[in-house]
Amino acid sequence: MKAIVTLALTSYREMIRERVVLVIAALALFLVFLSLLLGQFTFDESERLLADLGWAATELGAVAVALFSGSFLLARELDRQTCLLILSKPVSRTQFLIGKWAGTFLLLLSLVLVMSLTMAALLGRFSAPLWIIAASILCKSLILLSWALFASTLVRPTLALLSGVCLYLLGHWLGDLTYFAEKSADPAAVEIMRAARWLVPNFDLFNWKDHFHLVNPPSSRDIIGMCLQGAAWVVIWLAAAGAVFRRKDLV
Amino acid sequence: MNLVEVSGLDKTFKGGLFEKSRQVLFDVRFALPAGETCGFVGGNGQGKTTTIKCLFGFIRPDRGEIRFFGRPLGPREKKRIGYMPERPYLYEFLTGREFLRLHWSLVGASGDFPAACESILRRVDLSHAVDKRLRSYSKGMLQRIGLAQALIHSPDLLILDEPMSGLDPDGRLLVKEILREEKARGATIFFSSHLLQDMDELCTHLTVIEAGRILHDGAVASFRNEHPDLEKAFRAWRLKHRGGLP
Repeated sequence: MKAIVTLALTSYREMIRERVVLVIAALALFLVFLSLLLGQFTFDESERLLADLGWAATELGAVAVALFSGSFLLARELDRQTCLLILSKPVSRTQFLIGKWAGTFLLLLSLVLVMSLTMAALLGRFSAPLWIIAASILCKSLILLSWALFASTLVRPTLALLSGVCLYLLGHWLGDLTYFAEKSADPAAVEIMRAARWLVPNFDLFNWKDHFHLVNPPSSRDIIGMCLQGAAWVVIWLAAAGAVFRRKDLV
Repeated sequence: MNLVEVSGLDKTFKGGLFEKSRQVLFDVRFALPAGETCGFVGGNGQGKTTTIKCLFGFIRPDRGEIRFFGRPLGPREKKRIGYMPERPYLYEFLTGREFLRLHWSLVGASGDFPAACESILRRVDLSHAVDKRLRSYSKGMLQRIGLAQALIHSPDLLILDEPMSGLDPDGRLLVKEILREEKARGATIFFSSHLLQDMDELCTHLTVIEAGRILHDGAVASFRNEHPDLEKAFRAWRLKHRGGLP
């Protein structure tokens, strides 16, 4: 446990000091302030515009950090062989992977926290629904981070990144695609979408990043469902990543 | 007593879609006697780094057994080992002090870290750069901080892959001095190098690898035979077994 905490804090420190993450965070904050400006041109819809655009920017930033970090994290460690020094210590490959994941989790948590505090200050609300929306964005990012990490153990980082983007889009369109498949009455399409529901996380179930959910917060049942689904996907893909990484030759 | 025993190590790297499989280690077997400074010599691409990576399980051998302190390598054994890879790429955004604290913490060392850190940095002549980020270090400085993390917890066994690579003459003298000090402390040292002169100066035990096969594993004196130094002994060996230098 101590090794995981040490690795997590070191990874977090390393990533915070890298400019790429700060640039993404700055861009996301810029979009939030841009939405504030655009709201001035609307008729009494400034809060709605700020909430919708601001949360979209937050999610974009968090998802970008999750996918880039997850896709390139292991590849960079293997290319530069920085993991060899760590793994020569009494640290298992599983602990190494979890430690790295935990460091990225801390990074995502910081990013979402900063963005949420900015949103809260601009909206003038520090209520529970705001933090529920922030949690849903964090949950989505962690699922994508875990997927990207798993994919990077099998394919090149760029492919892992692309697959993460596809997963993100598919996860949001699952409901619509299922609807179209059912309407098409094509049995193959229906079966494919039925299988997809088991293989792809349904991000639409906790897609709460809008003004509507700010004033009409999700139910406790939905929040618990989000937490359970998020935890399940993270555990499955981290376990799969660990299984592949444990067998890999670190040449 | 042997601190490390390697027997029957084979390794084949599987080819990709259009590449054939390639066997790189053939029945590698050697032992590291306790308290000795052991040199591991071989040309480029002969299997030195692959063998060292197999020792730690970074590369999984197809066959063979490796024992550290009489047991398979586990967390307890790793605490007693200091390792430095061939090209120590490090976390560039950490400072020297943070980097050493990371490894001190991971190895589970007890005691006063600030004192240990100050002591080791003085030994590798990096006290002036301890709070600078590793990305500002020169190649020689990176090599020396890499050595520092291997030594900071006073391990019983040091495994160093080309420890003098990238060092200027002063740096090489410094590393040799450190290795002599570690031997005097009672540590067992296993280091790979291309440079026979370094082996001659420091080693009492020699393992020679060529094309993935161990050609000699024993006292330096027995390899040197009646020759005045290792370089002449190596030339004579080549002449006898391979018909001369390539």
